Amino acid sequence: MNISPHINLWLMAAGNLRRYRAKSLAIVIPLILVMATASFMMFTRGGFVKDAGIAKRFLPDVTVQGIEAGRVGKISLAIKERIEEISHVKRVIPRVWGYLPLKIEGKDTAYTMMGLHLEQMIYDGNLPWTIEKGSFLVPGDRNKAVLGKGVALSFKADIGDRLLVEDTLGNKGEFEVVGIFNNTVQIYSTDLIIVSLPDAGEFFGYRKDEFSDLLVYADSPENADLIAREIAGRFRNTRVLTGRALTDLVKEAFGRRGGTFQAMWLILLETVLLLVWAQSAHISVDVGREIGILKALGWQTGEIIEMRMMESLILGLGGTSIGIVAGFVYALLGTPGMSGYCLGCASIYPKFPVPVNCDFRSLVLLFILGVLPLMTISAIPAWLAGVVDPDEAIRR
Amino acid sequence: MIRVEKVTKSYQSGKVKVSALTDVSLDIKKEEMVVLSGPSGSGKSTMLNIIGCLTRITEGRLWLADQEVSHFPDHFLAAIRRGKIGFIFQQFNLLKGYSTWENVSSPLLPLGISEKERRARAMKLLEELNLETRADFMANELSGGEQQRAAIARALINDPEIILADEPLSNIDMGHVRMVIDILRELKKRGKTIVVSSHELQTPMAGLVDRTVYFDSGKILDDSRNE
Repeated sequence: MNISPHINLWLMAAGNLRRYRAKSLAIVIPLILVMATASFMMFTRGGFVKDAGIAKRFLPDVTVQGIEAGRVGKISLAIKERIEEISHVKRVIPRVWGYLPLKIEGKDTAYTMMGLHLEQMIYDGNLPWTIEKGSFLVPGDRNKAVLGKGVALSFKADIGDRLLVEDTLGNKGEFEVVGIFNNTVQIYSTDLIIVSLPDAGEFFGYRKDEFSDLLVYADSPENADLIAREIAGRFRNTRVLTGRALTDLVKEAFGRRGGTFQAMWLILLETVLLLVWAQSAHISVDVGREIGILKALGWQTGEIIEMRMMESLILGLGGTSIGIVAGFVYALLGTPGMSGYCLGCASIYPKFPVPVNCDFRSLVLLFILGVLPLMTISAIPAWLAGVVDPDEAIRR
Repeated sequence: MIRVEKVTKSYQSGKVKVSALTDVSLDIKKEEMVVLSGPSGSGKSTMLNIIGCLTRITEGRLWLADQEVSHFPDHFLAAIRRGKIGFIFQQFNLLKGYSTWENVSSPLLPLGISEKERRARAMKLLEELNLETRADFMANELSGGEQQRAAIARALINDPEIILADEPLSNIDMGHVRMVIDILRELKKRGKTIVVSSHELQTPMAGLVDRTVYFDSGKILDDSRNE
């Protein structure tokens, strides 16, 4: 196959972008903006969904919360013991947790203190936190805490420091920082302080036989729904959530926000297409005349369309690539101006970095969406002018 | 070389069907130079476009170089235009944004000829037409006469057998008329078959042409051989 004619056409296409630079810029600048917006949306949404996927591995099969006066309340040791009797239940681990207020840079935010049953949880080896500095808590530890990286940054706390915390009712607590964990699952762990179960219970004013929730592990994940139904049937004043339901909830929350992003992105893409179409329509007289001339000189319609599509391909690839890089950098910088919307109110805004996930599938999708419509829409005027007689195309 | 047999060409203008040519027949021999003459709207330019495969006939048949092309598909007609025909447009029809040499060599691009070779061939023609100093000028930077010569150079770049020129003297000043006539004379000397349209009855090319075919209202009124 002789590729020299194609190389000539591609070189001419590249030259045309320089020749008609005003038109090229009028298309490529909005395209860069749209693709930057689209890619940062896709990468951050991908980050949240990926986090949710990772977090699923660390979730219990079933989480049981107590209901008091129609609201989430405490759950008792008695229920824990009765749940342990249900068939297919491997073990039940109690947990105590609550939110604490925090003011950062004049903004009211919140973080989470969580009391874990150290004896039962640590040795499972299935914790979503990776210790970056210091060590994790060991059974029997009291008045000690392990901080999420975001919390440590906010408090400017390091190993060996004494951390003073206070809840909304004025209850105070003091903990020695023994470890700092990193962001394996950012959306769950970065705003977290982990202490022992009795320490958390005392801080939040729980009795020794009261907990925030119970983590129920089944002998097999397939039995989770069965156990959940059994618990819900036996204990009316509980809220029962399976691990899958919790993950779906997170995915749906961020997916819905992702949906908003996608809607915005589609509007932006539509804007670019309308712009390209307007440009094409505006220049269609010139384009038609030029195509007519080229046809009169012996060019085939296919060669003309190939050249036009090559112009769009170069513009599309260039604009999309620059847009993706810009979007990725914006996402890595923490989506300034957007992170509050992305993260919600219960996170340590703005210290908590927005999770970013850039995968091959997203890149392929972005390139397809950035390049194909552009190629199609610019090929149409070329094709319309190319299928008529040269004389007619020149005179139109 | 060129044979037009009972050709009719109609256009649809809204709901009205307009006949540009009606039942016209014409034979042009190899190396012959023919002027298609007649007033505006007489059908001479349409005839030129038909011979140049720039527009399709409605009825009748067309032969070019002993090959009937009346019903050839689009890509075959493009190949004929590329290989056999050089067309000089009345409005020059140079490509905006392209330099003179790029315009001249534009028919060579899809043939896969390298830029170096294309430029060399364009420069050779531009030198013959005293336009080499304007090779890198943009098309819109050229005067009318220069544009005309660039258009002629472009028509000759593929060394076609048939040269078609639509009103080649109408958009240039008197100083350039002589130059264009000299070019046509030289082409005739090289054995090209030349068909020129002209709205003037007494064209300055009169001494050069072999035949004058007079058109009016889409029909041939007179076909006279010049002595």
